[in-house]
Amino acid sequence: MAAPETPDSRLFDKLDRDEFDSDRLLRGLTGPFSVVGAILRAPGALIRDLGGDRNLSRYSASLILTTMLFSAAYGSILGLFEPGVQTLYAAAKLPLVVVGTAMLCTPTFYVFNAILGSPFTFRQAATAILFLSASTALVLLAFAPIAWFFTVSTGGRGFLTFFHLLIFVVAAGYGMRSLNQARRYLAHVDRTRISIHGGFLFLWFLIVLFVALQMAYYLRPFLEPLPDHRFFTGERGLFFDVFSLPTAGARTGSLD
Amino acid sequence: MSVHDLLLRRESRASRMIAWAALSSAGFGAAVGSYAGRWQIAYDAVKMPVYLLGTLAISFAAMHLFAARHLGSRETFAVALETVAVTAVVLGALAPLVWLLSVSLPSDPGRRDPPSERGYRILILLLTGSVAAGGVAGVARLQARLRSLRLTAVWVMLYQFVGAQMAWLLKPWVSHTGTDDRFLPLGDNLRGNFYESVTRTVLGLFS
Repeated sequence: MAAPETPDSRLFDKLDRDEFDSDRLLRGLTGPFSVVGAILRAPGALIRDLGGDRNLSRYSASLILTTMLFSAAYGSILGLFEPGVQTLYAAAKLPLVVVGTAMLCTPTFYVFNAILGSPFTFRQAATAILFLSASTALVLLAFAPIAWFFTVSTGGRGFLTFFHLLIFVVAAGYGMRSLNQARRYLAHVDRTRISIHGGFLFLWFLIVLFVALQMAYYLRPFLEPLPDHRFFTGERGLFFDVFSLPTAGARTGSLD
Repeated sequence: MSVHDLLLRRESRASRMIAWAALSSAGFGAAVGSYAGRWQIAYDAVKMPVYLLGTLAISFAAMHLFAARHLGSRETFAVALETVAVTAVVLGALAPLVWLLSVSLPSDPGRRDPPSERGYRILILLLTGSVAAGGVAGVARLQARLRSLRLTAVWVMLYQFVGAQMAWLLKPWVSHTGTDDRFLPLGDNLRGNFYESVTRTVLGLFS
């Protein structure tokens, strides 16, 4: 008698059928962007390659490239609130936040997973995190036209700040969901080992959020330029200040 | 041996473990020193490996005698190095996070205004948490090797007893006042010790 179908088994069946030729990543100028197709339509193939340590250098290069370009595109939309040099600054800052967060959090992910029994190498851990960051950047890119529409048609800074934060939450949520799905699928493909430790992964997500918010706070402003057109304020602080110091926040603490 | 072998409890060579312990703890030290910046980065990058490996060197004989007599001295040394190396690698993994907060938390050397004080306390909290995480990972590895809670406890007590004084001797670590940008002010540090200071602090709570 066949085992009853569950949402998990349907998902794993779908992921099992996914196919992606990772050799395409090297073909021509558009080759690296084929990883977007893998993320959207064949994540199962990408995750199996991740678990089997196949072509991970190619994947990593493609994932970094797409993350940087897509987040830069969204960053430029942020900076379009006051077009000019701020557009360029914001386009440079957002990839710094996204890729920088991924880089800063990779050693923690690798070392703690290994201590908890994961055979993942550093390269596999780094690629898994880039999968998260590229998924996040992909959602940012998908929202970019809508964000642009509201940026050019709205004058309210408060509304736009809230709107962008909402998009970041959705994008980060999608990225985390992708990595968690990878964890579950890897555990399904090879039941004899734990590639990514579930309990630690959720704690690590909190670390990622903390690091991303702190980086964004440190590299502020994103929407409006500084009076002297500096790249960032250079003022030290903790991102909690946005919530806890309304007076100071109005002066320096706002994320925008 | 790569750090991967160390983390997965595979065969390990002493020289590689020392190298990983020194490199990882130096990275963590540099991250801590970034709060004060300048020379403090280099100072802490030197002091942190000295702290971990120096404590091991001084407490090794007692740890072998009281907690690992059933092992040969070479085996005890390998276990001790592995424990310290795992602790150091965990600290090294946390170094990027410590670095981010070190360079972005409020720091106003000398003035000690409320935001700087708060930044300093947050950093101390993070450092305490990081060292605790490294310590837990190291002790878990130690327990896996010694297979005795009692012996592990004795080992940890001896190491920590020496380690606390070693940390005292090597201070300042964070150097948040802006006036103690010094590598090793032994003249100050040799006045009193860690345990006297703790006793004074505790007695001060009741006076």
